[in-house]
Amino acid sequence: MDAVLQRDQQHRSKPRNENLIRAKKMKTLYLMMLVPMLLLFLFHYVPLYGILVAFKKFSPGLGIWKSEWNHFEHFKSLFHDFLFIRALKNTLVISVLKLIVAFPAPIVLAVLLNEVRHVMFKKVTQSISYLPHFMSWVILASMVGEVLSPQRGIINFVIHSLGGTPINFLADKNFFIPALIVTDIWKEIGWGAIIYLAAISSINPDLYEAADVDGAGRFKKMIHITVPSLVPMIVILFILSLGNILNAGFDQILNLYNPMVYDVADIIDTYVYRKGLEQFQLDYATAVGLFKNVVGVVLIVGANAIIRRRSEHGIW
Amino acid sequence: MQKRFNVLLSAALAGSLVLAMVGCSSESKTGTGTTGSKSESQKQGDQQSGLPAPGDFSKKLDLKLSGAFTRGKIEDGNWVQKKLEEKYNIKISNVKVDTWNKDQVQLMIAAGDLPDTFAFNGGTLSALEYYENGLTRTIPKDMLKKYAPLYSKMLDENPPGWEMNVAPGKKDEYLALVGYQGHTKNLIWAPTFRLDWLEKLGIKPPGDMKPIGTSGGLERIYFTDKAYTLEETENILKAFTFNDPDGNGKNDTYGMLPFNNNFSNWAATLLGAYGAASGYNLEENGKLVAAEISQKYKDFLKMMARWNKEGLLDPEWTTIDVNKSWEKYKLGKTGYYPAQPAYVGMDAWTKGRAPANLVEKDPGVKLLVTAPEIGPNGQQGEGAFTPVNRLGDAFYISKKVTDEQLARILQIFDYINFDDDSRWTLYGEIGTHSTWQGTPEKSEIKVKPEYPDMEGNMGFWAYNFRSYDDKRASYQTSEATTKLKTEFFGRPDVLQKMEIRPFRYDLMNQTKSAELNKKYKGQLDTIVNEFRMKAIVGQIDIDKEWDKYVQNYLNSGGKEILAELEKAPKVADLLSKK
Repeated sequence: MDAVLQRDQQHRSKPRNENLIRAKKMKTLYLMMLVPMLLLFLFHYVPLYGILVAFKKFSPGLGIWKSEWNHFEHFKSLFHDFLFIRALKNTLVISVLKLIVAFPAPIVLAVLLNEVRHVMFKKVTQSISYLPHFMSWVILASMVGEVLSPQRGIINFVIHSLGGTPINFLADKNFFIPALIVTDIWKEIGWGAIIYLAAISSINPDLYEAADVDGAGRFKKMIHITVPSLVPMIVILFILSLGNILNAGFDQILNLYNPMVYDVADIIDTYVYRKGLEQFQLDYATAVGLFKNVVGVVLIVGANAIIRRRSEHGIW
Repeated sequence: MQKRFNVLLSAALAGSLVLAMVGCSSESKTGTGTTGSKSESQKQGDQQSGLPAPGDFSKKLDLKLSGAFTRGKIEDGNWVQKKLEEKYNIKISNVKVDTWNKDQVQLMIAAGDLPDTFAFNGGTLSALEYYENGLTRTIPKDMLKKYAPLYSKMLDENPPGWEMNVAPGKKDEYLALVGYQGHTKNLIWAPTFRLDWLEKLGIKPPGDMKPIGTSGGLERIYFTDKAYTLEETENILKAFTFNDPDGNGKNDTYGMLPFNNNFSNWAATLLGAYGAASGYNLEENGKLVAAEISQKYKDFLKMMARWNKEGLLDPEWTTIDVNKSWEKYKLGKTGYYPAQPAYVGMDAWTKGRAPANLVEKDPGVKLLVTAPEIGPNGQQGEGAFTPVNRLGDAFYISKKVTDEQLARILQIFDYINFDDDSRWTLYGEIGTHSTWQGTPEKSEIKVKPEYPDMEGNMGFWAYNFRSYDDKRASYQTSEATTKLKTEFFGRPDVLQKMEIRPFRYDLMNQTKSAELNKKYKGQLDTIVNEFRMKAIVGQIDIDKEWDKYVQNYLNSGGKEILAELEKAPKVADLLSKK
């Protein structure tokens, strides 16, 4: 009996030894990996202890450790705070709308650009569509403000010329969200299309040739080859976007919103910014931020699990 | 062998410990940079409190300073720094922080890494909060008397100065140093009208007017101590909007250009005409209410909503802040703009602000400055800059500062802020670095263009607190502004009649109102701002929504704050206290 057990143990420890041997062989590579791992740990994991602020009555003079515990006070009061509830609702609305409208936009652009045969036109279009991505929202917000100005803006000029009444888009809650989504698409469509164009370029040309032989036209090839080949990439980016669903676009909104549209535009991030940095309720703001991140993690894990169950795609 | 090694190791450790202790104690006794033998007075100072006597700067000290309301543009080794270091035997480390930038300041506070002295315009903590958060230390009264005699005299002369900022549970210790706000001894805001437009439209000024200066554009700015009524103002705004006052044949002018922040600036005199001041409380029907939920405020909102509906307000006002509004005013399409006397008097620090920016740009523009508008009940006025006396702002001493450092800091503070001999810290040597703008000693001092007027390599204003006695206030006030203040805006009878103060105010931290304010201010501000803007642009019916708004305000912390304020003294009683 003992001999059997011993043999079994030897058998089980064999792969471990093999792993060890393999690791020893690649020790230089592991050593090289150590530096980025250390940096990752130092700058991404060590600062996580700051989360403790959400559970403390934070006093800067005492620091995080010495500040008193707040016995989950902030998490208890979170859902009695109507401004938080509103911010949560606005965040979800804006994010979902962006996901529905803005997420497919780069896919459409990439697929259409792929069909363009005039190389110069394709390159110029791509370059122009990338440009807004490189500008900060501080600059873009001024440009958006001018374009949408009820007095000088080109859109209102057209409306006025057609006999309509100028609209103050950025101060009207019915128009603010559409303005957010359109400007978000404008800024990110070109940049977002790059990754899809890269995926398209890796599609096996034999597929298109075979389709040509079968007599497929360009539209058919696009629908039956290009788009299906993009699905794994779309799924991964969609899951990642779900994880970001509570990031509705802090820079964009902070630079464009005003008290007239707080009703629809005040999101969790702008609320945290006001609470934390403007009103110095750092502990409460951290609690709100932590809530947001936990929801983000739950969504990303949940979405991945659902997608894995229904297809072979997914992040992990 | 091992035993011998352990003995040797223990001996070495013990030896190094003893050496370290000797080193530490000798450092604490002598400090760094102590030079020379002590005089009699120094010895006396030491004997009394263990601290050096006033004027004894024999020991060199390091100080980390950020000044007050600075922009972080200070250069190391600047002119003022060198002179102060030499005079007080100190080594200054400049903390380069934009004290107006809320993000920078709040992050610095959150990190707890504060300069030895500071006064942040962008900070939101009160003196009590800084102290309770363990960020600042208290300042003993006996040290103030001993090391800051001029400051102490200022407090003596401004009761209840010694009773303000007293640390909780400590009778003679203070949470912060305060400043004397001599530059605010006047009405802060005044209505201005485009006089060239009024003349073109045939609208008469409300009284005799005269120019406030003779050159540089001031000759085109007129002043009258009479005022239009709100009704007359409304008619003027209509004429500005619809009667083509600039004569270009286009319907492109507006009566008024408010902005979406700084409500207490643009609405000061208009709300004052109803007898209320933003941010202050008042007594209405025997009850203490916040101005923002008072009937007076409601009436003001209804007037503004009517003006907006009639198209008298520039429609972009909801999306522009005060800085953008100055730029927009410069386009010359606005007829009415509230401004400080200093703006129209073109004091150096107001450069670029409306309405003087347009006067400088367009030689055809003329302005009329009037007294605050007269309201429906004959009321005229605006909120006083400080709620009770002229003491305001706060200069803090970091928790890390020792008594020895504090003694030196207080002496520097007393000299650079209250001794007229220290004028060089603000303007350098007059004649070399700056010049009088008019009669010497009676006009504004301007730094020559080749030097930075603040901070930079000269270090002007980099270490001072914003405390201005009348003389110091006059250095930054042009003759035109002084004239406006003397003739009307700073006249004691005008101030008596027109300054609106809160009904109750917790000047001496006797209640928990500051704590409650901190807790609820954010949400109350959001409620008030949203309601105000929606009400003015007509998104909501003020009459229908008013009760709901008031209830929301009270339920969101307003009720608690008002209940606490009921325990605070009446401002009228504080003012009568001598």
